[in-house]
Amino acid sequence: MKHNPLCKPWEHRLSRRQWLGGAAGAAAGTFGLGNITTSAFAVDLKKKYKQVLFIWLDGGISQLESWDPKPNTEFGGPFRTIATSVPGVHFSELLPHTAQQMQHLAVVRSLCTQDDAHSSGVERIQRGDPKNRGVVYPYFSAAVTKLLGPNDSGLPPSAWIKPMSGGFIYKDAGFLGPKYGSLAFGDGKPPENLLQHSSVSNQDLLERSQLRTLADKRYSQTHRDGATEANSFVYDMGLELMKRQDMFDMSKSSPRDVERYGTHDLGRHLLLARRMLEAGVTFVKVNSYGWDTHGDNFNGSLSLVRKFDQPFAAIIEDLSAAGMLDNVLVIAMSEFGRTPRVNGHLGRDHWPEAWSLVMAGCGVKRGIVVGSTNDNGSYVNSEPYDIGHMFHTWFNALGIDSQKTEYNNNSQPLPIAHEGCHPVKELLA
Amino acid sequence: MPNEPPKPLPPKPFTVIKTERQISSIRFSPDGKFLFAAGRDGKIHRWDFSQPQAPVEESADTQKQNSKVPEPVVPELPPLSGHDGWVSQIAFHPKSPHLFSADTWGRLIGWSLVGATPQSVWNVPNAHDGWIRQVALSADGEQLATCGLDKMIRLWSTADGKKLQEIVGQGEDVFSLAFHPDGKSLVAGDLKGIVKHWNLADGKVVREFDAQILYMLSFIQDVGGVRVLAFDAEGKTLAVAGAKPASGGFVEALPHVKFFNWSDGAEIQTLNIGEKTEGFVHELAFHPDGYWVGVCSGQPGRGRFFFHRVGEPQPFFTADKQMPNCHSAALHPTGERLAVISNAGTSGQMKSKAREGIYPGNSSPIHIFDLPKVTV
Repeated sequence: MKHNPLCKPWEHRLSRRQWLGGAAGAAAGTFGLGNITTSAFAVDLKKKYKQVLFIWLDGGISQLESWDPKPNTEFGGPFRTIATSVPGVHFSELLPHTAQQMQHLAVVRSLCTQDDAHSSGVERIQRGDPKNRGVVYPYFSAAVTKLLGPNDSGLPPSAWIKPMSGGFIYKDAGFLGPKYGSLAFGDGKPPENLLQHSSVSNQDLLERSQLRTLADKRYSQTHRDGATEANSFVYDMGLELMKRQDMFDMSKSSPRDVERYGTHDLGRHLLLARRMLEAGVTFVKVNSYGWDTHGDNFNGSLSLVRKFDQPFAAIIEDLSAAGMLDNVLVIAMSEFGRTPRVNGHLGRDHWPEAWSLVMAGCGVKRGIVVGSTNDNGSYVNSEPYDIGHMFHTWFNALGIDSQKTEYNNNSQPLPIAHEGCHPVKELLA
Repeated sequence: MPNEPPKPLPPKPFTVIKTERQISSIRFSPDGKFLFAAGRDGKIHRWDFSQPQAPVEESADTQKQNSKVPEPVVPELPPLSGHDGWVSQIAFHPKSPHLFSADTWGRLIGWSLVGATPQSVWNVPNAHDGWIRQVALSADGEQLATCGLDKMIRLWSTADGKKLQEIVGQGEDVFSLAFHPDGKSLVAGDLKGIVKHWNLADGKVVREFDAQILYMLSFIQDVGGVRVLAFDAEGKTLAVAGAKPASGGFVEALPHVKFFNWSDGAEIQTLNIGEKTEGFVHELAFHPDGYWVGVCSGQPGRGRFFFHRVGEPQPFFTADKQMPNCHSAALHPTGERLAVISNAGTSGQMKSKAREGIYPGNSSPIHIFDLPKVTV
């Protein structure tokens, strides 16, 4: 039979219905719904595995209203600064809870990146902006799950908690293949119909599972391995998720956690992220939308930054208290920062010239600020770092030598991070 | 329409005062001789209108003035310092030569305007925990009310800056407030579009006015708020203004005003102005001739000022062309002159300029208009 190297688009579409149907079927007679004690697993996990929490503030958080305030300067805006738990380091007053966790954090204030458009900038940043070699590079999530390899949690290696819809996002994987895509949990909810339907018997499910296996075999004879592998992989993830439904039951959250994380989307999603990390997911991405504050930036930042501050501080505190911060790399960032100049709508526009991000945890020095901007925040006055520098740094923080490790893309060796950049040693523990 | 009240003639451009930085709000002194501006540079700027020089060409329209700003014809006086962050609001005592100013770091200052150089006569560094959103004077000038980001409403003695009363319970970031002319009541409006009528005698809520249309939650962003509260001269009508938000981020919002009958709380009129790119109504002032003067500001370059008489379907005057981003307006005490601040400069990034070490900020030109008297 002739091998057709090209997939049809619909063959990659792993709808929730398909995914769940298979997952439920294969579970029959094989898995119960017993829970694994996540905290016990977390203890085990912290000894063995490295994980990433990647918080994406889509649209661009203003560095001036967060990590790099310039009070009482021309572009400083209306807000005050506050002291943090590290003497000499100040944040915007909109980050009071996070300021108390500064001893765990590393702030980079000298990012200078290349793209000032959302449409291209999000991809460039999350793929590490490598040199163009005619291939689509993986997002950081896919890169990490590929390079760290599987752990024995059985859970999806890459989970994406986001507002709105979910699904399996294979395009994030780039040339690594769809298996390294992310499973997105729309609004932080488990896929619908995760439980075995009462009208479907265990025997029915077993037969369906066998039929799926047969179909997979047949499909793989005419298609590249990646698609079938990804398909089976997603079904297997479904099986495991059936055992972990308690992760999604936010009604079981303690009142203290609800208060500390907040009841808004970002708070709920970060609390779910903590549970997923405890349960062993390798890479958890949490998206928050609406940060593109071209208008009314200061009132916008009042709600956005403060609603980030509370759950971010809580999850840093919790990961630290559980001893997990040693093995979990936490990153919070956007695709760029915002202009120092305030436009007529009291907004700030896109600014990749001089912006900030924050990280914590695995392999990263704690309680430090790296880099600086000039007095009015308009440019970097220390060594500027591109996203390639950050990819090198993050890989090394996770124990991956970014300058020696390569991808093997069908015998094509490819660097895992831009070879014109290097790890920022100041940031590495 | 034989009973239609006479309309004033369109405003005539008088001059444009150029500023170096952006301005939050402007006010004429009660004697009409000075214009003061709350600066986003932490300073209070002043201009002397007592002996203005010759006006610029009357034919110059707003847009031309914006692109070719004439030399100021009104002398600028040295600015007043003492604030941090942005000076958010200024207000004049109605009867004595005093000014009150507030900033976004929570400081409140009382100034004496006697003599050539105003002097601070009292100074409360932490009048609020952070951004003071609004200040208002009682009709007799005895009390100053403030509200802020800390959800508090406070009343102060204008004589010495002592705190007289604290009103707790608005519940949200309080954006706006106004004294009723009778001095017995205060209204305050918040982020979520709730306007509360407070009885000053006991500090309790009398009733609420619903303006929740001025608020929306976009993802996790709270958008909107009651940006303006104002009474007409006799206190019969309460104006509640802001915008009907359509999105967060860019913040598209349709300028929106609600007029309520003070006596029974009934809504008299809802007014939408322009398009959803025109943003928030930032100021409403009641003209002695019985109409409202308002300004709005939306997307960069979008904004306008308008004159409206309650009950008529739409404003009877709006500037033909957009005036970029009008954030405040001040009526001269005689009603014969109007000052409107707009925005000048560049939107967007200007990366190349920044790389050359040149990174200009924006500024707020102050457009001065003469308002011809209504002739019957």
